[in-house]
Amino acid sequence: MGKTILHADDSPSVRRWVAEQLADDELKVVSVADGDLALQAMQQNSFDLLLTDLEMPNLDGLALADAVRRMPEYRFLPILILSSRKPNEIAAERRQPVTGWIVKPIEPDQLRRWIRRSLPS
Amino acid sequence: MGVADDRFLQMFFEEARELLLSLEEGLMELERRQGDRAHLDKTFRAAHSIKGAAAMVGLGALAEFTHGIEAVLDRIRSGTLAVDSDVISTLLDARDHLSVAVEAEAARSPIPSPVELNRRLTALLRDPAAAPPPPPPAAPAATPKKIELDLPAAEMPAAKPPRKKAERKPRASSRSKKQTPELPLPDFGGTRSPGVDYYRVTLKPGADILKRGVNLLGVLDELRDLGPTRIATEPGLVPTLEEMDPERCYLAWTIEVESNEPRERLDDVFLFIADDSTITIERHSTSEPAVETEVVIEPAPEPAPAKLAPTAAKTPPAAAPFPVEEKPASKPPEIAPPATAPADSGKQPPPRPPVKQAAASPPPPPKVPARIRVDAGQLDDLVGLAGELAVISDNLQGLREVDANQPWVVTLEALDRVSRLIRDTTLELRMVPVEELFSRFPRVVRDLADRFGKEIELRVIGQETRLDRTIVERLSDPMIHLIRNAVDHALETPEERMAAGKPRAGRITLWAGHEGDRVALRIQDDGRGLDRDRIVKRGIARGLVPVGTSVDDPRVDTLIFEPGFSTRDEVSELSGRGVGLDVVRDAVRGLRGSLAVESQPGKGTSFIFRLPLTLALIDGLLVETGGNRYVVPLAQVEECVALNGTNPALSRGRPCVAIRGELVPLVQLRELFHAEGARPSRQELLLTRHAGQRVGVAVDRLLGRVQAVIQALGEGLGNLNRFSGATILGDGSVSLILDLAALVAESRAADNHAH
Repeated sequence: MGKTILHADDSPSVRRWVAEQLADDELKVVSVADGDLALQAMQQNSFDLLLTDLEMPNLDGLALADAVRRMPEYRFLPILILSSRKPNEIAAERRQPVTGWIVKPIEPDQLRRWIRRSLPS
Repeated sequence: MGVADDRFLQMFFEEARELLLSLEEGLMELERRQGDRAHLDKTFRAAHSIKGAAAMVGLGALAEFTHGIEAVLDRIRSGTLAVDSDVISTLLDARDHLSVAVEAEAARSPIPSPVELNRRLTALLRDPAAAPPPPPPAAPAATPKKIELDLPAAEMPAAKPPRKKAERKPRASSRSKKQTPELPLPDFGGTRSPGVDYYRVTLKPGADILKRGVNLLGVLDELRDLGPTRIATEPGLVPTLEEMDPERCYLAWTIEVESNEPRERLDDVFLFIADDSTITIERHSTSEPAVETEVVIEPAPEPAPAKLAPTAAKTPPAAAPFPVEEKPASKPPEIAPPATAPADSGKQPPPRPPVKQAAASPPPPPKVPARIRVDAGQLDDLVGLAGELAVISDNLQGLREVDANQPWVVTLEALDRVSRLIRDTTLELRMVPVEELFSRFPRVVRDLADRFGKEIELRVIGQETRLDRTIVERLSDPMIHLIRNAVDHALETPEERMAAGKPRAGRITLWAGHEGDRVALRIQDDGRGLDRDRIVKRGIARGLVPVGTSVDDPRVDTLIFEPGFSTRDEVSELSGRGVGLDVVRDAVRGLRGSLAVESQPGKGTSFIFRLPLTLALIDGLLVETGGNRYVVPLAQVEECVALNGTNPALSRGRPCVAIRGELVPLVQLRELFHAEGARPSRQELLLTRHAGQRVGVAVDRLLGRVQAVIQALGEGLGNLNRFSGATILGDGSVSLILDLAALVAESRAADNHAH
């Protein structure tokens, strides 16, 4: 079926790790280094899921999630946070646009599972 | 990452080193830039990224230690911890430890966590009584409360008889979510596998859950993965079409899962939706009647339901079959995916600020250009090839003069232009801003000032000036050497400075900029200046300058660069200059640069490095000796003089020539290279300087000036010091580049041996 996810993280090693864990025949991973670039990518291409870090230069993960959620085509997009921070460290209203929260570190199997489950069928 | 994969580890180490630099810079500036939120964020992010990446590559101990640094920075961010020099020192020490720990991991010999440092970090995390309460904005309402109940079997919700539908007709929009959902609790009957526990789950997702992009079917699929599942829902909860908002979730489910998995496994399934859903999980054991129930409640008040558009005309997207689905572990195709409920643009929520505004709400930080890491070796290869291309293109330009080639003139010109552009651009790739070098010094100055009890203000100017990467790398030690001298010796103590009518804090200025086709770096202090009396005396005593040399003689300043001119014990306590400055000067010469000093008593001293823009290109003299052509770096040649065929004089057993009354030792390139044939009657003498003394190198002919792209020598010639590289000349032939300093050293060594 071929889904595409966008991954935003300012750490090259995390980007590479995630891409290697997720990408396969059915899943394409596009990686970007900050929130601004992620937003640009979301505007220019169509994605099935957004996986983002919280702390990033230019535009942080929550601001990115908020902006993406306001784009009409992404109103129902699964937006997952991949961060070493836990959701309860963030105020609930700021988490509003977020679909799910994955706390780093995470086992590759678990990451794949959460992504697979969050992707619309 | 279960198995630490080496590739990720290597990548992590590289990344961590960069982040550690950025963390250090950030910390250094933290005190001065208080209130600069962007700066604080950047610093925090460096620590945060190290932690995150370390955790991902399986370096848990590193991640944990970094967490301490991050937590302290977070407290500073939230305003609960004031920045002072103690805090900074602790953070810097922690950063240093982290740096050591990263390298230790890279060397596969991890070091233990530092108890004392951890204690200091923890101390910063503790709330002093006077401190304002920490304001992490996590609203208490947002935290899902978990209440464990031990319900007696009689009160099991599952034991309640299913109610009749009519009693709970669909007032979904008016129901308070705080209530336990009034769900149909169907008796699934005797279909359970004997001997296997089962869970009974009720799930009432929040009305707005679809708007968060949650895929509820994924949750149900996940439950199916745990074991045979029976799922029931209540379509009566969905209002009539007129009242229905297709973007809301009205449905609730009752699910039975046969599984012996621990309950945590089920909690995990609901991780993404626990916050805004009401979920109950009961475990039923088939062997014993005891039931554990866990209720996860989202206590946040439900927002008032959006006004429903009467024209909503679409089929409810989540119309699930009722009452019972008996298909274990397979997906019911009849259920339309709720997460892809059609969005009707006519019923969008109240208008919100446009995306652009959301993105621009924090002050826009400066754009950092995207960068790619490139292997340095490949880059050097590319520079070489680009140079070669330029030379080849150069050679082809001759064809433009041939009449038959007229149709190709334009192409040839374009080739020439493009190949030069390629060469210049690739050369530019080797250039990095001097900032990469200067950014280390605030830390050095701070540490040294602490150690020597000085107060020092460091100013940095022109750090955007670009310089060859190799130069930047190799200049670090020489500059630190000079900075250390300045802090240790040249700058006075605050008391001395006050007494001399100077500002209390000494000032060191680092300056970078262009001087012609070279880059100049200046390290300037406003300290006591060179002690010329002392230097002249020592110079005379060592026979470096004639007796009676005036203190104002310009040669005096350069004396401090003479090898072994001073020893630490004798001079550092007086003038503070001269400790190993010859080493600094040699390092700079190795980069084809020069080092000069300017000083005014009582006002300060400046050391000035002058360096080529790039090491890949060389301005050279093309010379010929014994029929072979060589390139000599122009920077090594002070002067060229004609040498007529007279036999050289001998001084101390070595051949010398008189140049304007001065006896200059002579090196015959012909002899060094065992050239055949007779020496021409007229030669050229290249005057260079070796260990402070002028030396002449005789060559047969001067052919002209060239700009050459330096190519590294292969392994065969690489060990020969006398050649520093090779280059391709305009006619396509290869020429070796001579290193005059090495040549002279070599020939003198041979001379000493012979005599």
